[in-house]
Amino acid sequence: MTRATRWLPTHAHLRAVAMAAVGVLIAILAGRPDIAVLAAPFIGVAAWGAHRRPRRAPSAELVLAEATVFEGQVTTTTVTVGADGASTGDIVAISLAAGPAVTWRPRSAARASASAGGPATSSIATRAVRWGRHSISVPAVACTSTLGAFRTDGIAAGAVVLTTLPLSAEFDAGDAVPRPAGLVGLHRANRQGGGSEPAEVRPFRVGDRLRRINWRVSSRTGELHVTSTWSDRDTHVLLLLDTEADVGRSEGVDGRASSLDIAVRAAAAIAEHFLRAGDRVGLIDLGRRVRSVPPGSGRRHLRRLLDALVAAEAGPNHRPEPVQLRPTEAGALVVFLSPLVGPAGPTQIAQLAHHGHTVVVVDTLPDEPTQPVPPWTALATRVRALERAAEIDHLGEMGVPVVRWQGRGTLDQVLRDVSRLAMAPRGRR
Amino acid sequence: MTDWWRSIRATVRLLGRVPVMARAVVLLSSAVAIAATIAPAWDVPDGYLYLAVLTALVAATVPDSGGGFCFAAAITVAWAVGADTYAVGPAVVVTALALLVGHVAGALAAAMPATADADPSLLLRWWRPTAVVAGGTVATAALVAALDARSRGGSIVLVVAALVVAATGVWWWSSTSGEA
Repeated sequence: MTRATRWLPTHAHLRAVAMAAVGVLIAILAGRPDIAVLAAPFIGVAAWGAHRRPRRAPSAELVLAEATVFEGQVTTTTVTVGADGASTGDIVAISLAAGPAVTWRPRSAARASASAGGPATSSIATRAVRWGRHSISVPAVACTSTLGAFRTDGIAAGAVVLTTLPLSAEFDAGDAVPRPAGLVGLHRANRQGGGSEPAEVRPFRVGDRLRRINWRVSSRTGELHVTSTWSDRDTHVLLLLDTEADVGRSEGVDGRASSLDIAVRAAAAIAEHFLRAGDRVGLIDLGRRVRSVPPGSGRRHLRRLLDALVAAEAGPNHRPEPVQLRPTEAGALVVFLSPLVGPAGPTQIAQLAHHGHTVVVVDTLPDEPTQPVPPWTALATRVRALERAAEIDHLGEMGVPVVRWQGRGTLDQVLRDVSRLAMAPRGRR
Repeated sequence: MTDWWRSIRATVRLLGRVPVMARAVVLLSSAVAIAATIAPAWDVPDGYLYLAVLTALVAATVPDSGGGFCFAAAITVAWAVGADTYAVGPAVVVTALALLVGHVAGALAAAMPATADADPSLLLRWWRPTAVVAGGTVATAALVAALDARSRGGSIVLVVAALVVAATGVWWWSSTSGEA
């Protein structure tokens, strides 16, 4: 049930009226002129406040300067009171609320300002420090009339959603991919064809384009030569998220990151990089926190991926059985983002590698221990860490490189290595 | 208990300058009112003063509460039961003005959260009506003193008439003043 917005007398006004009444009563009954003087200011304040009572209560409107921002980016939340023409009194105070992932300036998210009775606007700088969809609401909007006599009650301004994209992690990689196979893209293919990167100068053959003729070499040798190029191709990149366990504390872009934070930021950065290069990128989450996105390309597809990523749920919710992967496109580059703490991750990686996919594992386990733990827990953690190290070694033996996420350049070396491996004579690994 | 203490500490860290200054004015005016009540050479019962100190602290901490009324009532009752003379002198005028300033500062503090960020000029938002009411209070005191001196044993009819005149004057002023 919602209450109607209205102007109600405040404690201050009731105090003034009560003190005026009590003072006059004592003055009359006891014949005390000094008590009448003590009551005089309250009579004046009560009369002034009552006379300046606003009639119609205003409405409030909550607006975000930018509804979609990146992590750490600052936007402005504005509350406009009295845009409907109703009186806003003398002082307008607002207070905003959101989850812990949103910070404010001023830090209290509360602001009071003078009003001339007309529309009043208050702005508060808003910064989301963690990806996701953050609901911003106005739990308190209070307009106060002259001398604090009347105050509005029950002004509702609704809520707005600040969508925060996880694209803060800087990422870049070389253009080496293991098996570029599509028709368009920026990656150098393993075969020659129409492209931009020179491959060799060779004698002219039937079918060669005339504009490829290298006139300098042709005139020197007396025979037509052409400059051939490597063809440009795209590839299919499958981002596999393992969010079965969210390990570590999430403190936003300014603090520590949990494994889910690292995975989401890394997935966004890698997707953005490969989509910019014209590749097709798909997304599957084994932990079912993020909905799957089929492969696609282009800026609009990046937005689809980011929308799926920002909707990822945090928290240690129990998940059903992990997603079972269906056979994916042959030659796809599979980037597996996992903290490698559960049993599902290594098993899936082994299956993918067994089916001949090029798999690169990005380790998303946070560096620091989360909290001080009792001795037995510490011992158990050490044992698990040793098992995990053994599993990573085993993946290495299968030809699956495992790298820690370090932002820019994380995948450069492994992509170069797997590309060389892909060009080598094929054999069962 | 820990959560409560943590919440208190977080609120204290975020306190705004203007709300704190408004509360400081409430405390200061309360101290002046108590001092002006004690200052005349008559014996005020201690209980009322202890109550006044306690309620002043409540009024400053939680301005949107009944603390302010309890404080003003304690001071008024202290005057009513302790004064050995009914004459209107400087002490009662100072007490009345201190109560006025405390009341307005309390109303201002109640108009915003304790953690609100505000321009310091907001502290003087209601200085004009406060000055008018203060002037009316002084005029009322002068009028009451003059009328009381001319009547035998204190003519309360004349006193009430003076209050009505003062209230009407304030009403007229507030309706014609441009200050909202």
